[in-house]
Amino acid sequence: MKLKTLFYFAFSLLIFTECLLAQNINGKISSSLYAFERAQTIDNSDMFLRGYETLILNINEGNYSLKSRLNFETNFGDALENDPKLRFYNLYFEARKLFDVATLKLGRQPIFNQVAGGLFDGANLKVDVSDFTLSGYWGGNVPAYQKLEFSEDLKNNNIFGGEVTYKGLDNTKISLSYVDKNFKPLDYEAQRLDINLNPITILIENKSNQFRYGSAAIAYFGLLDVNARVNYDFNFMELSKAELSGRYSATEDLGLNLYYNYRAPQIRYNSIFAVFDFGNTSEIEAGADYKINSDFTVYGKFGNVEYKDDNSQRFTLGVNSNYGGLSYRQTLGYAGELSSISAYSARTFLDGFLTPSIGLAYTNYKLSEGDEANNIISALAGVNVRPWQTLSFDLQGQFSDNKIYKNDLRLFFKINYWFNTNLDLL
Amino acid sequence: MKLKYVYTIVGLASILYFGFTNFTTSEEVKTRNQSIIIFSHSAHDGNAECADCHTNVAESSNLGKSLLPTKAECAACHDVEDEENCKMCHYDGVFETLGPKTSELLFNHKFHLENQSMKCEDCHVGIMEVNYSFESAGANPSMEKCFACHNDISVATNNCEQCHISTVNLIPENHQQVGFFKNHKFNNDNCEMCHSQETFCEDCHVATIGIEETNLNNDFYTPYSPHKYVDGTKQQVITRVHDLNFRFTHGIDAKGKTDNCQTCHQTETFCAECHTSEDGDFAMGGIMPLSHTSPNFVTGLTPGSEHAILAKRDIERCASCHDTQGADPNCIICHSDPDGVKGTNPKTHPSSFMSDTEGDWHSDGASLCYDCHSNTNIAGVGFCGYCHGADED
Repeated sequence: MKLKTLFYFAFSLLIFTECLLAQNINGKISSSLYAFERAQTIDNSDMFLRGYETLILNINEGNYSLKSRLNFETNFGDALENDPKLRFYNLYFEARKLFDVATLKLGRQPIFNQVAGGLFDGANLKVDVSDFTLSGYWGGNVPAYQKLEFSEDLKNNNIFGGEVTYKGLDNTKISLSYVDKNFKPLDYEAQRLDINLNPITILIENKSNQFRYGSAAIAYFGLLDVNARVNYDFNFMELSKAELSGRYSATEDLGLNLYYNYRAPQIRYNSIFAVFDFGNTSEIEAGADYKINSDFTVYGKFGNVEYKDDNSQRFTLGVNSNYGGLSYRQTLGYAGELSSISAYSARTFLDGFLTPSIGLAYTNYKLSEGDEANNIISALAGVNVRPWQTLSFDLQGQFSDNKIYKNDLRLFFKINYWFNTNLDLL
Repeated sequence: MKLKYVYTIVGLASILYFGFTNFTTSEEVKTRNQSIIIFSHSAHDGNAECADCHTNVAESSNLGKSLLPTKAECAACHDVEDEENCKMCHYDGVFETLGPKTSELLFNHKFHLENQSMKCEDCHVGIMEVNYSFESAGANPSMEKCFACHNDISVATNNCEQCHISTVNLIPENHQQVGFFKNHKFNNDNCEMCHSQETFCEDCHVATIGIEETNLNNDFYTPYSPHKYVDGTKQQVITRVHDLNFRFTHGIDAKGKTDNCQTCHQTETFCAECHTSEDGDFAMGGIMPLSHTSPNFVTGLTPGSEHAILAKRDIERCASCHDTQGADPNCIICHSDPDGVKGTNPKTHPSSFMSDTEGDWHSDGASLCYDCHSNTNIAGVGFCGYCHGADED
């Protein structure tokens, strides 16, 4: 409790000081309305109109910044449980070039790795020394719905880790990293038998240690790009994942890509599923892309996933351009059968004033071999109107037709405003 | 005719229209002036300042007007009336004015030169070493150069709209390469130049990370920014991370390991809340895989019933529904050790499971083992008796 109070005080002081000395303020504000249908049962659905207010606000002074992103949302009409919601996605203080080598982030901030995607409340320190970059982080898990609260049980709900990266070799990056993610499962009471086979009620209190991964990665960039990464699971003491991805630029316009992935299931350590006898998967995917001209690139890829006693395949063919794309996707085998064709295009008129866009997708799928086949059509048409550089309006209609939502029409409207002000007070 | 077919036809027609009216002829523009005038920047190096020829740059506030020299600027040094020397600059019979390059950028030269005290060579690198500007790789600044100031932390905004007339075609070439989606995690040093880490990454990588967080109809997710999705449709103004179809087809991507769901989702709560929901937002009237309806699903002939085969194949899929929070997972109905006698219950562990490990069941009453096994604390009895005989000290 004392630690929390101290943290709140220190953080408030940083915010106050930063605001006081701010020389640059920038950010974005967006207001959105989304009207949509939501199925409550197989033949009963309700209409919703929901509003969102998003604020991104950065306050800067020299090498110091206060960064924030928050979102307020509520329902119009029928109030929903837990409404309105105020989600704090980011609220952190950043100090750069400390002693010319370090960057410190303190507060609610993003973190990205295989089991800790999202946010955490804590500290992140990155130090550049010669060709090495060292980073470390520690903090609490963010409460549900990104509430502006600190974890009540930091001892059991936390994440920490770090990374060492070496860039001393030409076109090469080598890194070692570690992540330890802990969260406490919910306790519960359950019936069991005692040693005399009499039923008793016991409290199940599983521990919070869930994921501990070490990772080694190497990346080489050149005519041949090679990325390789190995993850080791320190809880199960076994290889968790091995990935190899290579891209060869055969000509200026032709690129060939090969991807291999050996993967153990990602099951948390304190889950009963961790003690079962299960198999791993290995995946190989090969692809190519060819730049026809400055406007068009065609690509195709084929992937095969091997399970313990089965397999599935997927392939994609498509055309990418600066103004949209067309793609066909197919999945076969154990994963299910899916065929999907989609197209999208947008164009800007009148020097950015008007940007209409349209997209279409048709999907036919079967979740498993014996399942019924279903079709989905989805379409969207929208327009972005930008009368000024800093202010724009989005309007988009979305249409979906599937076994649940028949001729479902949705509407989205958004006002976007961004700003950047140099105060020059000091 | 059904309404959806009308939508489809209109949509396809629109896509074709947008697609085919967007072609540019940028290659032609790039080399056109080379065929109009004979010119060398390097020959002028040391003899003239940039502003001597590009006289209107200092007052230019946009790129809509040509910033190339006219005959009048050349005349300041060259005797343009001397017909004997025409061929020094002009091809035979070619006396067109220079064509200005089209640009999809918004840029104010005057502001950067006056307010920011920048010099031409700060951005236009190496131009005095070549003849025509397009011959120099650094003739026009890279975005990295702009990012030095346009970064949301110093003086200038990093908003696309500050510099780009259209945000439709801001797709770097490497993003269109076939392996980009899987490779971006390896080579992500430069993402922040275009994508603010605080907003863009979180569009995909924030999701539901709280163990107590559900995502039923009371927990709608927030819309974000434009994205391109699995099925290729880019939703301009609402980001659901996954497209509209995904609720119906995500099982295929999950089983096919197309993506790693756990990068973002706390599966114990995220998946189970819908898949075990009685009254939530569901799509199949009780979302149970078809395999579960097989008569051999739970019990079957050794070496394993159907559910065991499926579990060995893809246990993540089992966990996504059955690793519930705050209650026994239903595996425990059979996979537990009520009698404390080894070998009398369905096989759970792989061979030699933790046989050479000093497991935490010795020291911790909250060990996962005691979810199924009874902690007798007596040698020779029950779970402890599996390894420790009654005659042990």
